[in-house]
Amino acid sequence: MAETQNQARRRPANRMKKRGTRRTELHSRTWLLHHRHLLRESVGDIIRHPFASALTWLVIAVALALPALLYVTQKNLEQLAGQWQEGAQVSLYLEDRLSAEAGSRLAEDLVRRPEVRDAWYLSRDDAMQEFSAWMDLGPVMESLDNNPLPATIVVIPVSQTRTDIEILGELLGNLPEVADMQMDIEWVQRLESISEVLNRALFAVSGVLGLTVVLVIGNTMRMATEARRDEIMVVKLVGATQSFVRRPFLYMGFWYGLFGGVVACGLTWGSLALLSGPVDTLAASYGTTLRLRSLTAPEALGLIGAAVVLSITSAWLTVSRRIASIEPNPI
Amino acid sequence: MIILDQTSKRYAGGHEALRSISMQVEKGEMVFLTGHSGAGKSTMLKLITRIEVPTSGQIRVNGQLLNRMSKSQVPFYRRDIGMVFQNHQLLMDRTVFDNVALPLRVAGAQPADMQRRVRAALDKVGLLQREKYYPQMLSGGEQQRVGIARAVVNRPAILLADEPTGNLDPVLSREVMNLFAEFNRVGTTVMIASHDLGLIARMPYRVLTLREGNLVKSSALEGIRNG
Repeated sequence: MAETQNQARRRPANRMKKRGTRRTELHSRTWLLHHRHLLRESVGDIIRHPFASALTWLVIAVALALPALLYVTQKNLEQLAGQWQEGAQVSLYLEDRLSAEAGSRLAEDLVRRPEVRDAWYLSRDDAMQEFSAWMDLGPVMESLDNNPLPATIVVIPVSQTRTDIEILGELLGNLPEVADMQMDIEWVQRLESISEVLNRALFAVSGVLGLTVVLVIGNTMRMATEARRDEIMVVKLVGATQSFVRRPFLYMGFWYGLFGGVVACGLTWGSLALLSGPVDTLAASYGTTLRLRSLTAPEALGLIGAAVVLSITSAWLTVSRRIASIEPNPI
Repeated sequence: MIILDQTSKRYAGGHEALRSISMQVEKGEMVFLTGHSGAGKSTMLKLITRIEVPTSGQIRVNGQLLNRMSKSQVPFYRRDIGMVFQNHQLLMDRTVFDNVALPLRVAGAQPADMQRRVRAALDKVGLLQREKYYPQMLSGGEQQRVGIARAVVNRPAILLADEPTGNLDPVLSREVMNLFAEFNRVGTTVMIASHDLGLIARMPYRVLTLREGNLVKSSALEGIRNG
């Protein structure tokens, strides 16, 4: 003892520094050892009691699968809206007094506008033919004395967003040659509205179910700390730090989040696989093809990551508060 | 090693558990702490293990002033104190080995080192063959000895025991006390709270007697030790 003190007096600065490094080294080694031990032990725990934890991570999985499904639905609707928007067009019904040549010329002029991708002229006869072919009304139309349909210019805008189409439509509708104007964007509007509703719902549902995950984990951790109350007291008595006591519960939270996230991805993929057949048939009946988009790998990883972060955070908050309140009182 | 200077402890309810106690336990000494239940023995041990903080007065253990010790320092302070309980406080779902290894794991010992030291501690209490057993498979006396092995496994400077023989028959009690005496012989400071006066009287150590929170007697029993 005396010798140590002497040495300390002789080289105080050096010794202090050395002790500092040693302590950090010791600390990181201790830390690593404990993590290695806990990794082994927590996996062992799950293998020994597979059903005890299964219920918790199934609840988490369902809570996460719901917003994931909503997200995928919204993604597919957006894709659908995109497909429809390709066909968004503005129809300009021309004044009857306008000649066919003037109409064609106007169409050519319009094509040159930067905001117009394409435009073509339909004479009154063309319009009649197209209409009767489309409606399968051949004989009825033939019985009409004169053609009630106006000559039309169909304009395909470059920009497919609703506001841009509307601006272009208003602009072209005010041309002196144009008697009336119609924008075929109702469906686009509806789809966009539905998509927007789903978007909001996604936020709300994600929030609520995210909270559910936090509460489920919190409650599970509360019960886990209660079940291990004696153990927490004993390890605190033999000198365990707060983080040492907390660590096994964080591992528990990690596994809950990981399994919950993985199962949530499985549920989402499974549901979409179930839907893809009927959706194909439905799309075929409308004469289009729609490939259902599922969760991509990065999205799945994001979901799992979010689950892990949520449950570790929840575990941290709950357990920190709990173990601070469990003070050793064995005497 | 353990110094109390006019230390008092009053609990929230107003109960005065210790009244201005001044006493000192030397390094390497072994003392008994005795008195009726409610006399303040438990409070004294709680103060030394920093489970409780004194209301007034000072308490200094192993050179550290406990009054001002921050919460984050407490775990490190406790690693230098071995504690034995009346109901031994073993973890029933862990093997004997894992129970004894707990303080080493908390302190981050290397696996090889841990194994060596746990075996040494179990050997000292005569339970080397039982390391793979679970506590329920052991008798009361054996469980208490596992508790003692856990208390000494990281070679603490101070060993505290709270009624360690409370649940044991006289023969086992004697064995357990001899075990403490052995640890004391190799330099550990030992403090044992016990009301087994018959057993204490036959051992040559100082006895601190508490009555209603006051230290009424501190007998050195030098005569017995020397005679």
